[in-house]
Amino acid sequence: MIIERISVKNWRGYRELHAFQFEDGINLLAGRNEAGKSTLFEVLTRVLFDRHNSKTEEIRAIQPVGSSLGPEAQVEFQVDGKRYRAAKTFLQNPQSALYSDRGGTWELDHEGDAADAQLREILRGEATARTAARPEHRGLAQALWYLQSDGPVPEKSWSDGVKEGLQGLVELAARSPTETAVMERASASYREYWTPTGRVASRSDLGRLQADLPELEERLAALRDKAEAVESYRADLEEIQSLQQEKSGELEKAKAELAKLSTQVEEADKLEQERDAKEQAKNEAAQEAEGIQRDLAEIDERQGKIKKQETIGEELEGSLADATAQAKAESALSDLHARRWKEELEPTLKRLEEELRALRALERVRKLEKDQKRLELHLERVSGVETKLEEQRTLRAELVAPDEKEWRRFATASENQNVLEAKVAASAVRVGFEWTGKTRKVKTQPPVAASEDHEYVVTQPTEFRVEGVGKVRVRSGASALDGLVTQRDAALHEVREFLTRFNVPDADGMAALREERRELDRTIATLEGNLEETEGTEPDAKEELARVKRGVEEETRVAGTLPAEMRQQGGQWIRDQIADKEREKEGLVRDIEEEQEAEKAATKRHIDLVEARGAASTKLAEHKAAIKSHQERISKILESYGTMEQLRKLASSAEKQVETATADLEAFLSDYEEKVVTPKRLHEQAQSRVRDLESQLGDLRTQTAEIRGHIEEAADQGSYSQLADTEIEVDRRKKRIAVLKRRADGAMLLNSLLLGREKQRSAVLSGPIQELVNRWLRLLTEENYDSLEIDHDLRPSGVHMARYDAKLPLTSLSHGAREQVVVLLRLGIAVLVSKEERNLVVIDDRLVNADPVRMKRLCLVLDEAAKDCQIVIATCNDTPYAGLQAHVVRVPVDGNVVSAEMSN
Amino acid sequence: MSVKFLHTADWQLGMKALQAGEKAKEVRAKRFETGARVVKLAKSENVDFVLLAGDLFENHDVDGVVVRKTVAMLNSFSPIPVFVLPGNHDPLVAGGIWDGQSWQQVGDHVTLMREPAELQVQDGTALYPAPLKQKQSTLDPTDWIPARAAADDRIRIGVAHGALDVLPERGNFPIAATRPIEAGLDYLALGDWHGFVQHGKAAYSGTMEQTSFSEKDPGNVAIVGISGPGADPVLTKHPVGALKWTEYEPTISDATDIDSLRKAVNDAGPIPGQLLRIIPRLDQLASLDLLEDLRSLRQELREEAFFVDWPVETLDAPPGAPVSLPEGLLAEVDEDLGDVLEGKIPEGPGREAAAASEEVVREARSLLRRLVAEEQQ
Repeated sequence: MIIERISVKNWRGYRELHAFQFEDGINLLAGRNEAGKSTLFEVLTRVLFDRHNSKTEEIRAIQPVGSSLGPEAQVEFQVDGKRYRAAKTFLQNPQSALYSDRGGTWELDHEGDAADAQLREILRGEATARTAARPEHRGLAQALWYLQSDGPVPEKSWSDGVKEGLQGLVELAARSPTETAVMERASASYREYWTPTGRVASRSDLGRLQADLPELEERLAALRDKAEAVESYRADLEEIQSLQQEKSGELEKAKAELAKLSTQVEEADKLEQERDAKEQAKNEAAQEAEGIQRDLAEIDERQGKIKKQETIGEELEGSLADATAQAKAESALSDLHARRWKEELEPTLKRLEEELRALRALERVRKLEKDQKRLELHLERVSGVETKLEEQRTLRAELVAPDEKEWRRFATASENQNVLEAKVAASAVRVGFEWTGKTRKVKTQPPVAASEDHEYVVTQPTEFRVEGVGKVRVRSGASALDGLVTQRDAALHEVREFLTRFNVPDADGMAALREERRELDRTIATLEGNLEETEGTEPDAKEELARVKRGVEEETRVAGTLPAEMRQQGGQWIRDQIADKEREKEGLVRDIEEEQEAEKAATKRHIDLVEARGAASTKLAEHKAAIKSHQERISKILESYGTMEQLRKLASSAEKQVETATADLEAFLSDYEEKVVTPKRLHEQAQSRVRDLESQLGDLRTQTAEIRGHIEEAADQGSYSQLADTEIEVDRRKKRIAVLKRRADGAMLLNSLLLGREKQRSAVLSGPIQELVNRWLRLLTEENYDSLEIDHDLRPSGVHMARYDAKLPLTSLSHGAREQVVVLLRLGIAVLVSKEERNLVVIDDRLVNADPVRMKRLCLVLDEAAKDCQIVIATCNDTPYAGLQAHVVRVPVDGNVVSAEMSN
Repeated sequence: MSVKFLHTADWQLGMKALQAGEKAKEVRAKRFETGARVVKLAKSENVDFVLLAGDLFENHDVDGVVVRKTVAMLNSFSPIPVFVLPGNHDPLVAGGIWDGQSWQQVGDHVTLMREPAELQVQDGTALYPAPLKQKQSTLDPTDWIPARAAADDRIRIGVAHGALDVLPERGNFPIAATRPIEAGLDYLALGDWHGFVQHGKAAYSGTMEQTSFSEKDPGNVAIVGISGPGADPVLTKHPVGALKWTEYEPTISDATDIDSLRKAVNDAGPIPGQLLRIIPRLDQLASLDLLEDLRSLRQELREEAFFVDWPVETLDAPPGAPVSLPEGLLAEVDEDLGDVLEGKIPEGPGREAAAASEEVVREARSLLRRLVAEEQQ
């Protein structure tokens, strides 16, 4: 079916009559948003498929806002080579009419419900009961028209009209009810066990059993480990018991051996005692002999010592005598030296020092006298300068002259005055008279002196009385002149004050006074400088003079011991005398020192000798004491024995006794090892062995008790029955899992086989469409997607990515890409069903998301499809379609008919 | 002088009873109930003593409470003397039950025969026990029993645990069947074989309560009377067991087979006392109706019997069951599965089935046929 013309009136935005012509091929319905493009498609579907008397919500909505008029429209179309016109009016006076073109004339074929029914018949649509027509009621148009209000593809399957349309070209064999039911139940069986991704469903019985089994097996393993542990305990116990038996046997043997050895040990004890007795006897004899020998040795030793000490004592006595004599000699020598320096040399030295002191005092007197003279001269000079200075100061004090400050003030005042005079003169009015004829006398009041030029400088109002003429009053200058005059007078007054004060007539007088004063000042300054300099050469001269005088007095007194003729001598003689005396003194001092040294040495030697003598004496006493001690000791020892002879005899006898006891003991010990040592050692070993074995047996008993305790504990825990119950449970579950697994695998296999068979069928059935669409898809996506997956209901499920050989579900594509895929599918279906008759394809603004490159390729596809189909594309922007050979219909402009009625 | 005693063995108290599945605990408890009946019988028969010829306990590891309950039960025999022989399940080993604290509480009337040595039971009667000290051996434990001395006019009774060499396929602790004659025994009380068997003067009382599906004539004790030395023993078998374990592997082709199975079970005894193991073999062409009947029987028995081990997968529709598959996809898939079961590799999507195991393929085919059948109903 293709459309030729749509006219519409009172329909949404189309309040006036609008009629749009369409051509075969591609028609671009271009207009702004809400221009009415989709409304035209709505007109198409409502007129062709809705009941004229429908009053559903959707039908009411087509009425223009605020209008109560009935929407009306006409669609002229072709089917099977015949031209039809369908005309309907909705809501207000609803009508329906179907016309056929017979020889260029429209003839009414049907009206009302019949017209609606016939239309459905022609277009293979389906009747609607109470609802507005939906896509599934449009027959083949459901697949070919992709309107804004439609979903991409039907939820379940295409309508019978589509299937009928495809019948013969693409055989869609629907599933039989039994197939559908069985496949659904097979799928349900599958889902009982498996998730969609092929994993065991965790909430299924199988999943739960599988999930629980590991824990159960773990518990079983733990119980088995416990049982093994108990078995292991028993094995240990068996070993321990075996060991216990072995050790018990050994213990018995060891005890028997011990008993046997005990008898031998008793015998050995007796022999041991006898040995001890003999040893003791021997020891006692030896001790006695030893004691005697010791005493004997001691006596001999002491006697030897006595001899030695007696020899030493004699030597010491000799030393003592020598030391005493020497000490005496040294003492005498020391006294001699002491007398010499004390009684001879020191007095001489003293006298010599007194002479020297006097001579020095005399020398100092000479010196001090020189100083005195010098100082007196100095003080005279100073006094002279002071006198002069005093005179000059007196002159200055009496002089009445300006000091520098006063002079500066005077000078300033004078200068000021002069300046002001000049200013006044400059500012003053000068009056001059030039007489022609006789010179007249002029008097001024106040008087003003005339200059040599006979000019009068008038600085104030002045009256000139000119003799024989009259009066001339001259006012002086402006107030400025008055000011200057006032200042000048002030300055003049100040100057005169100075002159008066200093009693000078003028400035020269002042200058002379100033100069005089300055001269006096200079003289005073010079004298003050001289005085300072002079005093500086001898500061504190007066005190110094007083001190010198005292010094002269003092030294003169000291030098008074010298003879008078010596006191008269000069400085050089005095110095010579001092030098001689000094030398003499040095000699004396040296002598005294020598004598003192000698005395010291002699005294030291004396002391040493006294000490040596003391030591020798002490030593001698010690030796004597030692000798005495030795003698006393010897006597003491001999008290027990009598005489030495008797002692020697006793010693000899004791030796013999020792020899006898030793021989006796040695004879006894010849078989001691055999009879005593060995049996005792063996007995001890046997005892140790028995103790050892008893300890081991004790440990074994402890271990046995411990292990038995563990075994009893395990038994009390009821592990055996738990193990049994757990084994039963594990076995039961495993069997159940095996059964369920087999069922699950069976369900999976069945489901997979059924789906596989169906897919194969679908693939076979939908081949031609897929071939065409796949070619377009590869073109559109530059081979990125190389095929469209279509299910058995001819609905797209995904695309195949060639590069990754993977299927992408449709939902993974962008919205724009999905739209494009759906458009391709619908175009593919359209091309296939249009082999014998062209059919209308409607694409209502579905390609807005295509980029320019895609758009270009889509245009190629549209061009190809347009060879078989009429295509109407609604768009807000016709630029992307520039490459198409398309008839452009501007909406609503191109449909705008100003004054025309619907065609009859 | 004569003697009358109760001969029992293989009580195996504390056994796991793995074959009894979820009823294992109850099976264990039943054995104590049966033991109590033995005590009652011994007293009612007024026996002189009781011989327990080995395997009183299942294992040395049985729970402490089992030992205590056993001790209490043996104590209840008092004043009848009880002679207990260690068997191959409970041999005399270090750390075993016989050394435990609980066993020490057993009464003085109970004697554990620890040594292979003559035991004077009462005047004129001697026992010759052959206690086992390990779990396995190829030696005859009765070898030590001395022959009757010429002047010995006592009744001589041997007590042993092992396999009479006349029994089939038994090698553990072999016992010469001629031992009674060789040793001049008037009776050889044996344990280890769980069914009641007599061979001359040697006899197995069998276990007092059946322990598994494969035992013949278990669940008894023997009351033995010997009138004097040299006389033949007179045995009386007394059933004491409460449970009967039976297994069936019937071939089910039609409804009569089901009926036969039902009858066999009913004839075996009261169903509440039965442990049943049933593995039916379904005919390949068994109908779904037949399967349904079989399911009903299974349900009945599961409700009534003490325990039923009847795997539910034995009731899955056999692959050859007749089902009318509609032409098309379902029949194609069925054919693919059938080809695989015949060892062929199908073309197309069915090829996938060739990689699956036979049981999975059968399962898939069964499921398909079941779904189709249910849908067609």
